[in-house]
Amino acid sequence: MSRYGKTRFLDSEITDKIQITSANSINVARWLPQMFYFFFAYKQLHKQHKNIVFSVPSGNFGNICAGMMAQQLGLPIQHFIAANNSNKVVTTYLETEQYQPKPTIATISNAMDVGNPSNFVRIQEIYKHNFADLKQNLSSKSYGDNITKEALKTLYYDYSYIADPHGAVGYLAAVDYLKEHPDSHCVFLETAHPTKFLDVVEDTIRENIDLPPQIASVMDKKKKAIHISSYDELKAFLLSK
Amino acid sequence: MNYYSLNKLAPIASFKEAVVKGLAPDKGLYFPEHISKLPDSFFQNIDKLSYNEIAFEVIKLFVVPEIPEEDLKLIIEETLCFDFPIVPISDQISSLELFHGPTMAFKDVGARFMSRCLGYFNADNTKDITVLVATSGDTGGAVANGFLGVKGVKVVILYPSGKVSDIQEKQLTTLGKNIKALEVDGVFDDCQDMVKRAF
Repeated sequence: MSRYGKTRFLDSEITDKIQITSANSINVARWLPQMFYFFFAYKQLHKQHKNIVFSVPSGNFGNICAGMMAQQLGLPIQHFIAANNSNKVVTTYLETEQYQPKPTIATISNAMDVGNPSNFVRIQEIYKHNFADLKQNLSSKSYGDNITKEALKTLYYDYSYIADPHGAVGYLAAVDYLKEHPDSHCVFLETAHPTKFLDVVEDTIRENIDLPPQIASVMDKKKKAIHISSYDELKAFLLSK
Repeated sequence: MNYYSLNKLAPIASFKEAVVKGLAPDKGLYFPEHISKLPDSFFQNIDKLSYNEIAFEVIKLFVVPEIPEEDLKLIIEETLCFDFPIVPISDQISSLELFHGPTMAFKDVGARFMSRCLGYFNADNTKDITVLVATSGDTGGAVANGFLGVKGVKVVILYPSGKVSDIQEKQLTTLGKNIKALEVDGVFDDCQDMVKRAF
């Protein structure tokens, strides 16, 4: 079995004993409510702007896939851009029509360090596996860490905006898209507060950022985690409870 | 609404089954059987609707009647307890800030919504549900926070050792109660593979 391949058997030793579910974006109850904020953005923008495009920093592709569902419900979205870091399986797919999962590359936008995005099959289903339709609605670009840091600086020094590394990748893709589609208005998703990536952001823009209260309240608490290195250890942990 | 597995080898599932199972028995992701457009009047009136009302109209098709309308409204109210501002960057570019929730990540929305759905479905069940989640960074904290103290639900979070930020690690390892964190030697895909294998 490949280290990166999906394992496809049912582990009844676990499922016979305990009821398990997943809270990853694969769960429909996590995925579908992500449609909400595409509508909220539209509500705020539609009077001033037509041709709204969303640039979505993408890792497991749940967020962008929810945006596409919003579009299926009739929300007038002109186009989607999947903004990738160096983990660019979808960028490559749109260029070559070859979908090739890859080992993960570690980047400064670590929530997007995904080599085999789970939700991409849902995107394929939305567009009924029609590559031409998909390309009509979705484009994708990939950006490395250095240019992402440059974007953090540009946003801060030119626009007085502190982004996080994921938002910065979204911003880069928005800028590139507008070069060819100047009539559009691009919205990039700022998916996490910049203090969640404090080291990178502070080192890059050379400013100290105050911790918001939600973050400050957990920093003094003691970490409690159990170290595991194999599936068997996970299984033993689940069955021991 | 019913859901089918994208691997097409599992029975059709109700919303409840899809939420409680997470992944279909054939390891496929669930997908809704029907997607229908919202009426034109919804878009014509969108300026007059509150965020809660918008969210209700958008998701009710996928959720009602398995969660009754009044309960769904309550779930939405508890989910959307923070703002989603658009911040203009330039004439042509805006930022949609999704980080004003309790763990400051977009995932707060999905995690809060899901935890309350699961809590609703498990309200009169005596057996606990274990929620298993792999995180590449932000999911863990959002799920931990969203599920903290939800009755009948235990949460086990797998995260790649040394590959999440200090703040992210704190957010998912310090809550206690019904939340347990497992630090995995490997990368996110290894965590996700383990989660998929456990079903």
